[in-house]
Amino acid sequence: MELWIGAVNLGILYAFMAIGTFITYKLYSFPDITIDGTFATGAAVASILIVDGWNPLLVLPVAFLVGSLAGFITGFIHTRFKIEGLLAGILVMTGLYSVNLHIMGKSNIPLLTSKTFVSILSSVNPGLPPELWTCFFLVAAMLFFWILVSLFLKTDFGLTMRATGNNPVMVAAQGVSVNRIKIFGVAIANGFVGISGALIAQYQGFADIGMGIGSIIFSLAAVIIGEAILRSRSVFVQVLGVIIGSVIFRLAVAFALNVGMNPNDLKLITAVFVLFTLVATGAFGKNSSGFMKKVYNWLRIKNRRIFLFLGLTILIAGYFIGKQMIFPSERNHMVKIGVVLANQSDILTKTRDGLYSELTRLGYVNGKNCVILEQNAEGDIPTNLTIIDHFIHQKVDIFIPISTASTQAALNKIKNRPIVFATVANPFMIGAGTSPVNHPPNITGVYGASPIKELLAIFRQMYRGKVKIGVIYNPAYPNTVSNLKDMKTALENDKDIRLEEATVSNSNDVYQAALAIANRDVAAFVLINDLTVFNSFESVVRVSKNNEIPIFTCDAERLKDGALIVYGYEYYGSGMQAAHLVNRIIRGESPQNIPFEKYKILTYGLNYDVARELSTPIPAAIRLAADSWVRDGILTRPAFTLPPDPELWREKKVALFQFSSSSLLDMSMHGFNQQINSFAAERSIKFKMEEYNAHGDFSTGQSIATAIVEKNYDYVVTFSTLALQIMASVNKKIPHVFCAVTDPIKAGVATTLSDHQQNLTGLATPQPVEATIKLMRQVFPFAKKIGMIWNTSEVNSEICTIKARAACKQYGFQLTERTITTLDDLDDARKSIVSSGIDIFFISGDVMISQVIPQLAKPMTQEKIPFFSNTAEDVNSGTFISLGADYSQVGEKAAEVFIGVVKGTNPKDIPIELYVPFSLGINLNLAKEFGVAIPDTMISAAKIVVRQP
Amino acid sequence: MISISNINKVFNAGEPDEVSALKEVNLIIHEHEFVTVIGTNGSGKSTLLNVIAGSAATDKGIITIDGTDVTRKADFQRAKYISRVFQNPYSGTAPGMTIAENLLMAFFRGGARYPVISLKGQLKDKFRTQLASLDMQLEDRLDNLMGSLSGGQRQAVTLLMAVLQTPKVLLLDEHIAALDPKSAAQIIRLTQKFVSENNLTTLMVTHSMKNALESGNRMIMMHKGRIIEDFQEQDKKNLTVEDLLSKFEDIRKAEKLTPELIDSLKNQYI
Repeated sequence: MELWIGAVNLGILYAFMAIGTFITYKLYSFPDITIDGTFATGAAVASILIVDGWNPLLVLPVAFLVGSLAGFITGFIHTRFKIEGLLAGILVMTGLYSVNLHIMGKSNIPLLTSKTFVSILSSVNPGLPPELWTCFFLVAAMLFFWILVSLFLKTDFGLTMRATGNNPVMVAAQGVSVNRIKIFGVAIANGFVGISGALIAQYQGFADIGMGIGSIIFSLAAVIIGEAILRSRSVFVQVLGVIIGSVIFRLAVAFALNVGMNPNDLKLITAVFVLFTLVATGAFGKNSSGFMKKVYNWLRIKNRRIFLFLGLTILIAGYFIGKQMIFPSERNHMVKIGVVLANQSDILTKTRDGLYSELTRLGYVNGKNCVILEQNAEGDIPTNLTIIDHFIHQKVDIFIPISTASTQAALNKIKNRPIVFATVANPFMIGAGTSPVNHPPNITGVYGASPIKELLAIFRQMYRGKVKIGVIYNPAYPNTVSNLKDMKTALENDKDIRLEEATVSNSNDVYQAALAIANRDVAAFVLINDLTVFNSFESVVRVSKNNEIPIFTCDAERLKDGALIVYGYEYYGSGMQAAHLVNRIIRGESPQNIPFEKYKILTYGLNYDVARELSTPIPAAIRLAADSWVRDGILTRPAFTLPPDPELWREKKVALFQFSSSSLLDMSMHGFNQQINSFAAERSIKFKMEEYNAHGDFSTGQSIATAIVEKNYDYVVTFSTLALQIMASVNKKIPHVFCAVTDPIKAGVATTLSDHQQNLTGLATPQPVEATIKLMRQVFPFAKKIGMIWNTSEVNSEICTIKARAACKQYGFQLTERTITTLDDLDDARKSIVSSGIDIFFISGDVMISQVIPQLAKPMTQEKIPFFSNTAEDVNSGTFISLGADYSQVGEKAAEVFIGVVKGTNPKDIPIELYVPFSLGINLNLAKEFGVAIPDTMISAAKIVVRQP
Repeated sequence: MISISNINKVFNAGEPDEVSALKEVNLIIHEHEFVTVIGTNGSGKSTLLNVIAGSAATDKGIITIDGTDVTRKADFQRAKYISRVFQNPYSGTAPGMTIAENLLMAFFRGGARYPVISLKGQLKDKFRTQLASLDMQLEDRLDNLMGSLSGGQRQAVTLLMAVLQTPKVLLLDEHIAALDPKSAAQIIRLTQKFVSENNLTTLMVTHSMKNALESGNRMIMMHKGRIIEDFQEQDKKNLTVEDLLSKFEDIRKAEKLTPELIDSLKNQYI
């Protein structure tokens, strides 16, 4: 469903633009091509302002004004200098390209983490599917806009605009300046296009310099379709037709994708679709062919437009009905899952996050094939019961209490429906049976007491002899009581440790309690898991720091917060395990036959920062044994992995998404596929790989991404930065591995390598610019000037150039730059840079220029200027030395990351890896010509060596 | 009301096909005068109308309307004073818009148009009444497209549009030339009616000597870019078609016109 609603949303957003085209094309018979530029201008202005902190709705009037200005210029050129409208549009559109680049400052501005109208809407979403929720608002906004525009066209001024298009001679005779009216119309039309661009940028989560290309065709298609479906003299109906036309166009694209048509054929489908519409429209005219006439007469349909409309409706309705008949289970089998948490503490929310991520991975998507209800008792124990009651009323099928208190409540209330608990220290203490296999028939779950005995053993490694330790706890929680009991049992064997206790009843008491214990001269706080204490953990840390008393605890989450040593279970894993139990129950197993599971993922962590601050020496044994640590504020820990389970043997659907074709991307995809196939063969896992390629078109890319989400793939892998951006903005759920991306942070999907959008991870492979320049210095110790040509509209190229500037400074080079935006300017740029007297020529990660390496290499060789580049294969095209990344290795490495994700690691726990496997190419013939000697070690390290045949 | 002094207009100046459409033309039209203009093809009568309306710029000379110098003003700026009816019935109206919408365009002639909706209730009633005065049963077709009317009906509406806001000057550019005889007669009748009702200052270019004699209270005759005759009301009353033909005969003598040309003139004008 998301796919269709997504298409409707896109259609509505593009309708703003289509209405602009309606004004220019229908009213003035002037297909205004300026909009190809204005669309991106609107997006550029909006994104720059939003990044600057503007309200995402306030940017719309600004986008409108800037768009209008562009339209004004087109209108002015057209009327004042009597330049053909089409040509005037092309002139302004061409100029706008540079203007847009200036506005944006770079060619791509990510908005994924900024506040957009989509994120604002989703923050007040009452629980509807996000696309649907957005759709309501867009429909409302469009309704308002529709009425506004239609009313405007009915006013005296609007009438004058329409009359101007209809008969300019007559309008002039009535005292109207035709030029002014035309300029005004083109201006507001472009204003609407600007709004459209601003909205689309927010919707897709980024603005890109290439966004508007081809807009005019889509707009015209929308206008033509609208006219075909709703033919009327009424302006209201005409404008409505344009909106519907835009939506139908997007639906048609979505339909083509959904029925599995190759996205590569989308352009052809578009053309055929528009042609079909035009022909069908022609059939309604007076000159309809005999056959069609017979059909109409036979059907006795007088109004033939209705016929087309009905036909389309039946077609679309038929599709939905058919789909429902073929896959009825999709609709009728909505499992209702009720999740209840006792409070907001980390332990519980981590459990919940693990539960959800694993449920998603197992194929349960909220709102699609299951309904997940979640309530939090916010620390109030009786509220747990109220929540359970509420869930029973809601006819929840499976209850998932997280925490002992919630489990207790569930156990009390529910006797005939399955319960899967998670993060309970001791289920037997609250009456859930006597052993993991002997328990009430409707309950199972994941449990485990804190490994307090092991923690005390670690403590003993550091503190020998007679010592005092302090503990703080809230006796109101059964869990805590159970933990304390375990602790005391463990201490019975070690009479040299004396336990100092302090009890609290709420979080506010914790600081006082900690101070009291510190006064009793304890060696350390050894904290058992207690929600009240952990809710106010900062208080304990404060006392710990001021009195130099380290904290030992069983809660792994506290490591980063200021504990010295943690030894405990990962509650994220508890949630993941619970998800598997839920899956087994949904698939028909009875909870009675499922034994309780103990936690499986354990963390042994050490905080070096705290150790330094408290001047506590850490024995080598502990340093070696710890598997997680905090150093300089950065937490390092292994990925959470569950042992393999039968789920792994299910066939996985994987979407491979490539934005455009290039040899590097093809290589990385090839490397990926090879690695995956060998992995799959080894483990007898089946992957169903489906490849998508947007062929460089943004709206196609957008549609592909929506289709991937809709089709519910298990995983998605993207190749190239734009594929990553488009996918990341649409998909927040499906695990996503990316590669062949220079800089994911610049692309907006991450703020640091470890802090990135939750459902994705991957590889960053920047061009080895610095290494290349270092190499230049090694080969040419006396060279002075490096010349670079780069395309200002590529983000990547810009990043590389910035790096080159820094590296040149470092290695004592002077950098001369020439910038271009199209290949037409390349020749001039080359001549100019050569005449400026460069010693070395360098092309880095520029996609556009990398296509024409041979054209550049030939004149450089003639001029005896050594040519360096960042793709090893370039030496075959005539460069001297090319140092790049081996993209098939990148693909292989991405496959490894991907397998990690398949094995169950959550992408958010896998930091993005900086991965540049060097691949060197050298042309020895040129070395001879330049009179330089290449060391043998370098030749043997090279992947490609060109020498005299 | 209109004063034209020393007007010159040359088309394609400096080209081999250079044409002097108006040569040193001087003309003063007083208020409430109804002037008919006749002349041979290429005599400059339409050009005279166009330079007054402002759709053709003059090379030299000064034009004033109601005491205002409008020589450098564009056509749409002169629309405040002038309304026009064109020879082509398709030129004066917007075919893709309704009759009422066309009338609204004329209703605001020369004035500003604001983004408010004026075309409703009272104004529509007014339009309906005025359409009724055309006696063509158009009053019930306010919301029909202009394009659905016949040429004669359109020209009638155009005429109505021209007088909807009483103009200082009404310019009629061979406005019945493209119509069938019956419609033409109807339009001429309407023209006389509107002009006399509103006491309009009118300049009517026509190819029909008969119409030129029957309408108006002054007549000028043009040839080769000059005004060669100017008949005031009294003189005009006594003129006949034959007198006019003999005038053309004189021109023939002066310019050695061939008898064939005379024949064609006769065929054309009688």
